[in-house]
This record gives sequence, C-alpha cells and structure tokens, in this order.
Amino acid sequence: MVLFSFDIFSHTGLALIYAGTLIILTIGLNMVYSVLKFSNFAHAEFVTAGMFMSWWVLQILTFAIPWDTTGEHLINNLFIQATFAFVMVGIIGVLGEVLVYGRLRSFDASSRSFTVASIGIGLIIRNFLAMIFGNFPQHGLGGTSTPSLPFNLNFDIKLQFIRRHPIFGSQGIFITSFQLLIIIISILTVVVIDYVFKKTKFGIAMRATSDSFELADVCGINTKRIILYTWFLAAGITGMGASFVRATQARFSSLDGFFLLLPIFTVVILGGVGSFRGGIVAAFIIAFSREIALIVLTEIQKPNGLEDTIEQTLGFTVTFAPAYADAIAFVVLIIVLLVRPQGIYGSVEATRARV
Amino acid sequence: MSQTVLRGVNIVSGYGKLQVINGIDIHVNENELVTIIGPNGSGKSTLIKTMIGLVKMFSGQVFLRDHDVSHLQPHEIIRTGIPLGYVPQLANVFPSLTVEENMKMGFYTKKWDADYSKNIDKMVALFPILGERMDQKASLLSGGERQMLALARALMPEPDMLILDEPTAAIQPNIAEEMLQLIVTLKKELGIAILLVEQRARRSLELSDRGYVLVTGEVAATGPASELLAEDKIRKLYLGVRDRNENNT
Ligand SMILES: Nc1ncnc2c1ncn2[C@@H]1O[C@H](COP(=O)(O)OP(=O)(O)O)[C@@H](O)[C@H]1O
Ligand SMILES: [Mg+2]
Repeated sequence: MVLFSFDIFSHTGLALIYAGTLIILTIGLNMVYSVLKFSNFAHAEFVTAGMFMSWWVLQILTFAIPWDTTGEHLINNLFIQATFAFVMVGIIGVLGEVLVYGRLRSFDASSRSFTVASIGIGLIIRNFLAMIFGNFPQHGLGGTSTPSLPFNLNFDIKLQFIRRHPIFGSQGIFITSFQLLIIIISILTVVVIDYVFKKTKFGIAMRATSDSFELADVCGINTKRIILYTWFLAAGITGMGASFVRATQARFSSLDGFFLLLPIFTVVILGGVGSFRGGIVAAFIIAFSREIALIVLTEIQKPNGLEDTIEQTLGFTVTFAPAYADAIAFVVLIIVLLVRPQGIYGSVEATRARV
Repeated sequence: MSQTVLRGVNIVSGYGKLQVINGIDIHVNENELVTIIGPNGSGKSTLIKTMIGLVKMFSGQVFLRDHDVSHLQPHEIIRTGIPLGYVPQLANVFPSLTVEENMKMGFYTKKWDADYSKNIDKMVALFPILGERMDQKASLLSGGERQMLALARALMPEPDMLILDEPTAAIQPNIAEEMLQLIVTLKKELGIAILLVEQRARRSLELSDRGYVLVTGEVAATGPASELLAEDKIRKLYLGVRDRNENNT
C-alpha cells in the first residue's frame, strides 16, 4: 500500500518557501515592536507597497531602456527591483515617522495611540497605491513574470526522483533555484540584522533608545535619528522581502499585504518580541503547521474521507475546505497567547511593553 | 578663584505651560561638591534636567565651561567636548542592556577602543560587584547595584562635571553612606566638579562645599555648606524634616 497519498516533498518545498517569506517579512515588524514599542499595523501595507514598487520599477525600466531587448538582465532584474523597493518603502516608513508618529511622540502619546495611527496610515498607503496603480496590476509589459537574476543559477531541484515507490508513491520536490535563493536571502538577512542588533554600536544604540529616550539622549545618542534609521531599515527590509514574494507569485493585489498580516504577527509573537532568531523558528512552525493543515483538510475532503463519512453517518454536511489552512496562524496565535505569551525566546518585559 | 564648570543664569523653565523653575542662578566650580536640597516637588530634578537639555527652558542661559549650551539637545551638549556625566533620579540604567553595554553607553560618543577597555577595568575595580555581572541584564540588578551601574556609566567618559540626582534614593542606609563617601572621593581624587541632589540633606551638606536650598522653584538660601548647616531657619525647616522626607520619592 502507498502510505503517502500526497506529495510529501512538494509540500515540504511549499512550506519552506512560505517560511522564507514569513521570515523576511517579519523582521521589520519585530524591529518596530522592539524599538518603538507598538504594534505597527501599517506593516501589512509596507508589504503591499514593496510589491507595487518592485512592479513599478519594472514598468519604468521597460520604457526607459527599450534597447535591453532580451529583457533578462536589466529590465526584469530581481536585485534592481529589491533595491528599488527597499529604498521606496524605506522612505514611506520614514515619512510615517516624520508626518505622524514623531508628532504623536512629542505629546507623549500612549502606545495605543500609535497603534491606532498605524491602522490609519496603513489604510492611506493601501488606498493610495490602489488609486495610482489599480487593485490588480496587469501583466502588461513584462508583467508579473518571474524576474531574472544577473547570473545563472543551476541548482533547481525539480526532478521527479521517486516514482511508484511502494511507500512514498510518486514524489518530487518543486523548488526553483529562485525560490531557494529567496529562502537563503531571508535567513541571511535575519542573521545580519540579529548581529547588528546585538553586537554593533548602532544596534546597542537602538536598544538603548528603546529602553529610554531620555537616558539615551544624555548618553549622546541622537534618538530622533536612530528612530528614523529604525523606520528606514524596518520598512525597507519589508519592501525588499515583498519584492521577493511578488516575484514568486503569478499575480498580486493591493490586499496581499493585509492577508499576510495575521501570519506575520503570529510569527513575531510566537518567536518572541525582539527575538529575531525566535522569528526564524516561529516562521518554520507556522509554515509547516499550515502545510500539514492543508494536507489533512485535503485528505478529509477526498471521496470516502471524513467529510463523506460524516455525511453518511450523521446525515448532514460539514465542509472542510483546504483554504481553511490559512486560519492555522489564528489557532497558533490563540494557543501562544494562552500558554506562553512571551513566545519562544521573548523576555517578559518585551511582551509587557506591547499593546 | 577656580574656574566655573557649569553655570545657569536666571533659568526659567517648566513643562508645557506649567512653570516650575522661576529664575534660578546656580554654578559649580572646579573641584567643588555642590548639593541642592529642598522639599519634594520643589523643582530640583527639573532644574537639573533643564540644564542638561531634557526640559525646555523658557528663558535664561546655561554654560558648560565657555560653551553656551542653552537650548541645545542633550546629545548636543554631550558632544560639546566637555565630558559630562548625568545620573537621573528615575530610570537611570538601560534595563534590557547588559551591565557591560550600559557602561559602553557612557562611552558612546567616543571610539570603543583601548581607552574604553581601560575605563571598563577602572569601573570594575571601583565596583567589583558589577564586574561579576558584566553579562547580566541590568534589569536583574538590585536597587543599590543599579545606582552603582548608573554612576559607573556616568564616570565612563572621565567627566569634568558630574550631575547626580538622588543617587542614594531607595537604597540601604549603609550603602547610601558608602555611595556618598565615594562621591567625595571622586571629587578629591579626580577633581571632578559635582552637582548633587540629595534627600539626606544634613549628611550631604556635611560632605559638601556649597549648597542651594530650593523652595517652589526658587533659591531660598545658598552659601557654603557649613553656613547653611548652622543657620537656624534652615535647620528647622529643611533639616529637621529630613526623616519624614526620606521615605518619599
Ligand atoms: N514630566 C512632568 N510634567 C509635568 N509636571 C512635572 C513633570 N515632572 C515634574 N513635574 C512637576 O514639577 C514640579 C517639580 O518636580 P521635580 O523637579 O521632580 O521636583 P523634585 O525633584 O524637587 O522632587 C512638581 O510639581 C512636579 O509635579
Ligand atoms: Mg527629583
């Protein structure tokens, strides 16, 4: 008998890609959480903005350098898109501080005020983007096709390496070199940021600022500038991550960031606020739980699965759609908040600080 | 006559529209320990915070040696080149930083090189108890250890001027006495000018060169510490109530 009726390797691949996505998109939220001590709901729209910005630069380049006829190395280049998204979304983050958060801070507003303001800022960013670019940017010129890299990578793992195995059935991993690269960049980014935060003068200054603005100031730290850098980095990294995510998707919309908000928050809380390494572990937990939920729900829906059994024995229909797997982040979030609110690696103080 | 390190001229300041300091002149000379005493809420902390740039000054001037530092931000004052150490009354350590990182913050405006390690060694020699806990978070320290760490951080840049806001608050009496003795030693041996705010009014005046008595944002009396201690009115009003004040913050 074939033990696995589902493609275990391909599901593993999907979970890895999802985890990579969550890892890179979580860093910025975690930074703002730990330095500025509030839940930044506008983070979701940093993701959306990153997608739109990376798509926008593609459109610009298509017009600007029409002689690049192959379109391979400049027009649709992942690194150009990522850099552009980093800078543009970084600027959006800085603008939020200059126009809104900085003013709130000057009247000693509570962290709840900041959170509420961030919801408003998020709505403004999302609708602004939708107004300019439309809700569903079209394929158009260059469209949302997979960007290329400035070099060729040949480590695709696509081959169908198990066929009609007595236990595994037919299996294969489907991760492209492109997706692998994204997972690697995500993890590298976290490691670098973790190092900066823990060991460098800039990182210690960020943590000192988060402990006390006044004390940091009398130590010679320009706290306003540290806060601006924090926003630029947090928003920029998120924008960069979003450009990667867009590159792996067939299409994207102005709601994509919003749909990722819940899993992103769950990763931060599960990993522990302020712990970047905790974020890595948490991202894998969330990604694999989601994939497992997806498999289980699919199994239940198969002919003669649990869904049919319930219908036949109890006489009413219960639907278990595989799409419910997306709710797994909710379930994990509730469990974490009940059982271990400080997360895997988080400290109790950091958790108290959040809203 | 020795040189003035810190001088405030006709300082008027407060919070928002609330005026707390109503025109104060104050100065601290080289090699001098100056104590500010006064009842709770008289504006001692506010006066100090105004001079260091943490509270907005409505009018007046502040000089750090020859530099006019009026209306500068704290980090700008720290960067004038005259090393200055300040220990606030509340929240005087970075709780989520380790003991060593807290000391590093005292050296933030300089390169973390050989001088830095030398000064760390000095602090460890001065406060051996901190040396044993260099990698622990400051949030795990006791009240007395926190005050020591705060003082160590302020001493890291080898300051010419040290401003201490109630460094003995909320610590055991015997440790408080040790702390005051240490402050006197710092003045005598390193020649640091020190401005001290103290609840233990009598004891600190005994150790000081000069004193200011602050009442409702004004200087009610000032002069050599021995004269203030001898003056009848001050003894009755501000030194007699010492015991009642000591338990409050
Ligand atoms: N952040 C603040 N905002 C508004 N008023 C303040 C603030 N801090 C202190 N005050 C007020 O200023 C006055 C002086 O306070 P403070 O300088 O702390 O006194 P002291 O240090 O002598 O006990 C008090 O009336 C106090 O209520
Ligand atoms: Mg005070």
